[in-house]
Amino acid sequence: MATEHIVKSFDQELDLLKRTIAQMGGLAERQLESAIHSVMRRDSGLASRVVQADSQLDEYENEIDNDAIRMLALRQPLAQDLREIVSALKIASDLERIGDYAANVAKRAIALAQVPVVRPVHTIPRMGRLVQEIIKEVLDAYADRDLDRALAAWSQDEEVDDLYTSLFRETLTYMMEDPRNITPCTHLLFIAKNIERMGDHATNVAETIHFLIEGKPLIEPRPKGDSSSFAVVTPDTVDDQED
Amino acid sequence: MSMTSEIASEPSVSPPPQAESEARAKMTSRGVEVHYGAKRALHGIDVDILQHEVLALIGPSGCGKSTFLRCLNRMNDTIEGCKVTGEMTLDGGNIYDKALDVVQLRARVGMVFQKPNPFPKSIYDNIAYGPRIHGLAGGKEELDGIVQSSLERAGLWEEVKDRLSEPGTGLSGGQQQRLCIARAVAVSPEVILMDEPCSALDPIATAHIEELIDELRVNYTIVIVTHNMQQAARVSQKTAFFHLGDLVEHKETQEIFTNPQDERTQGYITGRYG
Repeated sequence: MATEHIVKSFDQELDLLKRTIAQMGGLAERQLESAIHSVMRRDSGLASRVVQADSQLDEYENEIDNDAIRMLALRQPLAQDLREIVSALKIASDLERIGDYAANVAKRAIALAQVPVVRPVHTIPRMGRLVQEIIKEVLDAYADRDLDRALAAWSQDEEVDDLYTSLFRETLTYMMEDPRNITPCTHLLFIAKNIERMGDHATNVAETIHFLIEGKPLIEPRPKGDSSSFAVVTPDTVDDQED
Repeated sequence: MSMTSEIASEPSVSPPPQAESEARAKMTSRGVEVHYGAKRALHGIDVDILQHEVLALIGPSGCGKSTFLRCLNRMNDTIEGCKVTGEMTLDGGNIYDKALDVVQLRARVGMVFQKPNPFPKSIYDNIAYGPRIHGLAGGKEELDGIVQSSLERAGLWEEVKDRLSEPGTGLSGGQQQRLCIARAVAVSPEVILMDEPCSALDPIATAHIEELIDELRVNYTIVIVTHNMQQAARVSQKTAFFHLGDLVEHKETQEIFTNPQDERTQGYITGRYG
């Protein structure tokens, strides 16, 4: 089938939409990377730059929203074109949320830099790398229209959830051991939660790609590894772990 | 009239056991082919038209959608050299049966055309004409009632009730089209065929007609040919896409417009080179 529209400017607009998503995604990925660095290197300067750069992601989202709404109004798209534009709106919104979480991680990095290091911090770069990988994979899958790749990334998120659950238990243990750990551990916990949420938004993008390509929603339930909502750590279990 | 119907009017045997979905089929088409002289315009069309549903026929010019529409009330009979084969039924009865009264068929299967074509008569007589010739009204009072209720169903009554004796041709385009719909409704049809009913109307008049189609669906079965994709998406429950005389895809309207399966459908509705 011919893939070009009779109206050429429509193709140009769709191309621009795809390119803007790619640029926005690249920025969101870099924001996450820098935010993690700022935590690990206790670099408040870098953290501040991440916080400031978040407005760029908001601008990208506005740009995509405006373009998409204009195309919906002027082109009255159907079928693949309609899915293309609706997907762009949804993905832009997910990327914007990922950016917000990156900025929040960076803010906490500033706070964390002012208190002593706690050990569970070492799980953070692992979680960060994993989520960054998932984001990169879904963005590539979006650019290449590669459903298999999107689904592979989608199922990887379970690992992020597992890491989060174990970090949750670990930080609780540290807090119980020494109340002075509570401040850094709480920040750490929120940082980990933010990263875990970024992973969730990345899986949303993968689900949107499924809709974009297949024309129907992904109905299979995503494997969920985050059981921290049910996790209980008591002083007894702390003792057990130390034995 | 040189039209020859090759559909044999076989003695009716007991109807074949019908599936659940077929139970509601108001009209059916099986292997319907149409030739204009040597040219084959339709290649074996199989469609069920369900009761109280709007079926939209879409496709590029010359794809056969209007030809198919005109088969449904034997309007093609009037075209020289046109030959219809296959089986087409209304409520299970063969509409190409030689014993069938075509005038009666067209009262049951009414039609509204692209260009509003009111008779050069008063608004009242435009509506009263059909019921008069079909002997549907017992007297003046009953006829008045039919005229009023038909105009009401077409959403035109309030606008014309004080000038029923004025010529129908003096109305605006949108009003004329609603007058034609009222005229079709006046003979109590079961199916209404519409061939691009809004293509000559402005957006407001179009919205009136679309609203009307939705209301009429409660009592009638409607088949509409339209070039306006958004209109097909708005007014119909099922959509059939025709291409070069073939019925390419026929399913739920929402499916056709969000996730068409055939590349030709996709290419047509998204405006790509096919």
